[in-house]
Amino acid sequence: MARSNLLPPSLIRLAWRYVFKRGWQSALMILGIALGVAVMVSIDLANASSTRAFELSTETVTGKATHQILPSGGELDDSVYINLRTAGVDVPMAPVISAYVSSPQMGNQAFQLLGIDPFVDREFRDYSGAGSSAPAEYSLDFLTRPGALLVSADVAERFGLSVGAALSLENDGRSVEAYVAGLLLPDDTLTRRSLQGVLLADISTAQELTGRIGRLDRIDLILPTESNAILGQIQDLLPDGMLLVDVESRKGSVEEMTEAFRLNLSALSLLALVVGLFLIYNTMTFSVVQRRPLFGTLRSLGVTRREVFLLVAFEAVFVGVIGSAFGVALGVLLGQNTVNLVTQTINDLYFTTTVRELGIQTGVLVKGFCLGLLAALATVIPPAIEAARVEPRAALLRSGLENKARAAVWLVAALGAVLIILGYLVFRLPFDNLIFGFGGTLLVLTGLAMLAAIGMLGLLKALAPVTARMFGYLGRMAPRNLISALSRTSVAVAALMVAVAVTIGVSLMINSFRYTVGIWLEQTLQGDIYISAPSFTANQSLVEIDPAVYRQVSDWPGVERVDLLRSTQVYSPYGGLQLSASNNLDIGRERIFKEIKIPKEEVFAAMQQGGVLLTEPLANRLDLQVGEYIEINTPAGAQLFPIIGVYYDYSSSQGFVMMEQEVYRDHWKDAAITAIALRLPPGVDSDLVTEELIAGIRSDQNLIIRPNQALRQDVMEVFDRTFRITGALRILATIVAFIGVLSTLLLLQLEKQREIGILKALGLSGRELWRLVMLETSLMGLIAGILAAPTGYILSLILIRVINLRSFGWTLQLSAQPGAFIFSIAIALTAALLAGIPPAWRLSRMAAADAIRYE
Amino acid sequence: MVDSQNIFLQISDLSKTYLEGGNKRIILDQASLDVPKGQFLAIHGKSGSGKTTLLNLISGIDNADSGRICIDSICLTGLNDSDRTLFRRKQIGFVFQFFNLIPTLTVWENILLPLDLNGLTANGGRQRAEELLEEVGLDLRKNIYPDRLSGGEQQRVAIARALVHNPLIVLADEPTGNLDEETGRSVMNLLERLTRGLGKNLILVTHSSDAAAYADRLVYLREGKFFEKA
Repeated sequence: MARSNLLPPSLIRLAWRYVFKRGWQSALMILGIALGVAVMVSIDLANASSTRAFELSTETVTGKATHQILPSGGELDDSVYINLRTAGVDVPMAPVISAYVSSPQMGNQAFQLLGIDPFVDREFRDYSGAGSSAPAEYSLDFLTRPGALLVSADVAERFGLSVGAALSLENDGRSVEAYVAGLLLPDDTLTRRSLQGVLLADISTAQELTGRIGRLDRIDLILPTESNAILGQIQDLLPDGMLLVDVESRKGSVEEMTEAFRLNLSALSLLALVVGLFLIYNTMTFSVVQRRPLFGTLRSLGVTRREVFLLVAFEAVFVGVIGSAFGVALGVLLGQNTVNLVTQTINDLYFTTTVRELGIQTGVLVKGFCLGLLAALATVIPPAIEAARVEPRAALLRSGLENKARAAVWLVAALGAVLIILGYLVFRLPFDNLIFGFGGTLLVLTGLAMLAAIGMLGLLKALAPVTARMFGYLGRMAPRNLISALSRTSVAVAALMVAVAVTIGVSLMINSFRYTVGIWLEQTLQGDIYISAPSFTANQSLVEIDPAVYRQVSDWPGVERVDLLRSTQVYSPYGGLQLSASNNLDIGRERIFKEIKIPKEEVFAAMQQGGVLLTEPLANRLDLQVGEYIEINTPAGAQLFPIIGVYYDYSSSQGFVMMEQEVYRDHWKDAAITAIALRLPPGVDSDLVTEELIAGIRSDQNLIIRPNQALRQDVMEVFDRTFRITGALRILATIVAFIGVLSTLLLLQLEKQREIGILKALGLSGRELWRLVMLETSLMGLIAGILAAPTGYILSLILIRVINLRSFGWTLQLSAQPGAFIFSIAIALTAALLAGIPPAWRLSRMAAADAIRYE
Repeated sequence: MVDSQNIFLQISDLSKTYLEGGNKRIILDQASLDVPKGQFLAIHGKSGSGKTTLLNLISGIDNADSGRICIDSICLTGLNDSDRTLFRRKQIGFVFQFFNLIPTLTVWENILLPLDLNGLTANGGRQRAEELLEEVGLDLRKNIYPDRLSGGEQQRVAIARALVHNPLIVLADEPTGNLDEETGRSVMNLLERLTRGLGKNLILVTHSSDAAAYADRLVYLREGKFFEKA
């Protein structure tokens, strides 16, 4: 008797016709999925585009190099390259200068200036092509004329540049003149794309343009696979402080750097989809409940349970396919804005990357589509099972179903409690893995959502006497109506609660972050005026300041004390590390320590003895404690530095090592300075001194000179910019939740059409009907808001103590301001009230006879 | 007595009870009945006497506590839920009191539904559906949806749907219960004509003496047992 067909055509027709017949209902479901998928796709595209742009620029500058020689802090003298050449090391090697520059003639965007030796570089990088105006061996101008640059034909076209066009380049605050000596038009698309952010110069030109005469940034090498003997030979020839590193390991560390950031964005982007799933679940559950008699009839006619299940699943597939397809298209449209936000944050927090265009990767689109469809299918499983369980003897009465639902409230609540406990246990697992962090969060959030029904029941019972007193018989009816349809109303309330809780949780997290950063800035920024050179990253400048500036400000009238900071990149067995060297005597008093075992007054003295401080993110990342040692490669070889303290710092999620300046200079023989803090005596106007400094300092380098207050404002501006994308995602999730509530309320009122028709027939006025519907919707919104408050608070604790700590290594002080709760409850109420308007309008206009006749 | 060679539907010692608020309510109490092929049987009884339960048991929608129901030598009581469903799909035609047409399918699509479920749309199935549609007088309204039809018209569609896949037996549960007297009569005429014309058995559950008058045989269901009307 078995049949092989998956679903008879009549049932397929039945499914899609139902989807069409319930046009607005299906449209809302499609919109819910589409928005969820769109957010996810746009974030994925932005992540992929920024990663690809970084990879491309890395590939452009590393080319075929397998290894690189780099300085661990300090400088790489070009004599190192000459020595290797003359010592007869028989492998391809090429000197490289790599710096970020901008030019007003090229929209002030960041470009990578790549200085190469054209005679040896061909083996590493080949940018020329049939269409290039630069001849195969590069032009004489390129090799001999100062400021000669090659740009890609695409870049030239984008900015309207032709051969010979003059360019003013800004680098490390200095302005230098250059010009377009030729155009590059590589044959293959990949190289063309990779050249979108690159300016090519001869090595000596690049040295002149960047002020690095006699210095290199690195030496590229191509070593054979079995290269131990050559590696040994090169190591022996390298002076102390030079490192020979594998290119692949460098690439990996950069990817690791932004992994947590990208993962957090992806997780947040999934949120909109999760809220969208509540919507599908709710709508499909409704549709199943509404159609119980239909399923009963079908079962009587011999339709099997499996076929009923597939019928409902097919509807979800239909909605899922359309919603996901729309979502993918919308995601691509949103992607361009998202990529700008993501790139801005990466530039602010991590490294300079320029994303010229949104790369539409088929994999991302397919993933978004499949995830949307699978999510829709997974969500529909419970209602589809419910449909398949409908007995052919014509459907239990709805009241029976609702009685079952009310009985199940306790079971669902118990399951929710189990999930919360499981989530807590996942947090307690001895792995600091972020995936476990998100897994635990999902368990806790789902568990709390499952408590929504019991919370709603309790609150409705508690509120019923109040509404009865306030609104008479309508006030008695409204809570009862909601309880009588608890199986559906509780799902809508849970969806809205989750969305609002996420708003509260994320707001509290951002507020706490802002509050903590504010306190930290107050404690840490003790200087009155700060001087640094412009750089493409916002959090810490590695650009050296002209030594003449330091000499001038040391004797500046009114300046009491000058603190100097050198920030640089060094290498260690852990990989690249940022190191800051300071001569601030009060560093012990001006840092907020997480862990320290000596009095704060003795910190600087201990640092003078070689002790170092670690910032919290670095200590967390490397799992290092006070009392242990950190190994760093110095020009004199690897050295162990005792860790004397770990302090809170929010300027970099990678963290850094803080060393006393003289200790640094002893080891690295580097006297460069990257930031200067001036302290003024009490009563001296810092704004006035700043103006005098801006007007009076003589240097060919542009400098950023700003008083303490302005620096704090700038930091907070970067902070707010960093969270702009989070805010956008939060709003989208709330929109999806709003659509969910609108859909639920429309369905709920539609379902009660007959009952409302009877009420109208008995004399209920249109005005009273409005009040009844609005009372019900406000009760739902209010309950969702009330339940969202503790849920949001718990979520913020998880975000702060688990997710943030594991992602970025930052400990934040929780700042629970009532504003976040009040605002979110207001959102829930407003969303519910707005969602109540269409059904109220629709029902109040409906004639009683029509409503009663409605089937 | 029915000739044992000619028994088409055999109900033997059938029992069914329901639990109502902790109390056991006996619906059928070792009831037995033999129905010969082609017979038009009416079952009469008070509300709550178990008439609909009996139809549910005959169609395999519900399961008996004990006893046997065999239709054309197939014993439903030995089948599992899935096989009973497939049996119902193939061998039973149902006519309900409230018509139970599928609101999102047109008249024509409602009639085609059993053919489609049984994979019979080809091989003359459509032609048979066309003929039935003509017989019930709705061939000119085949493309409209059920909500545009009167109650009598909907029941006519339901009759066509019950017969289109050539079932072994047609079960009708108060087919005139929701219709006025005249329309009820016309529906019964149609049901009788088509069922008899096709040589099918009809089991009719009804309150209405008028409807029961169409039957070859009338049986009362009282206190869980069948009683023949003399």
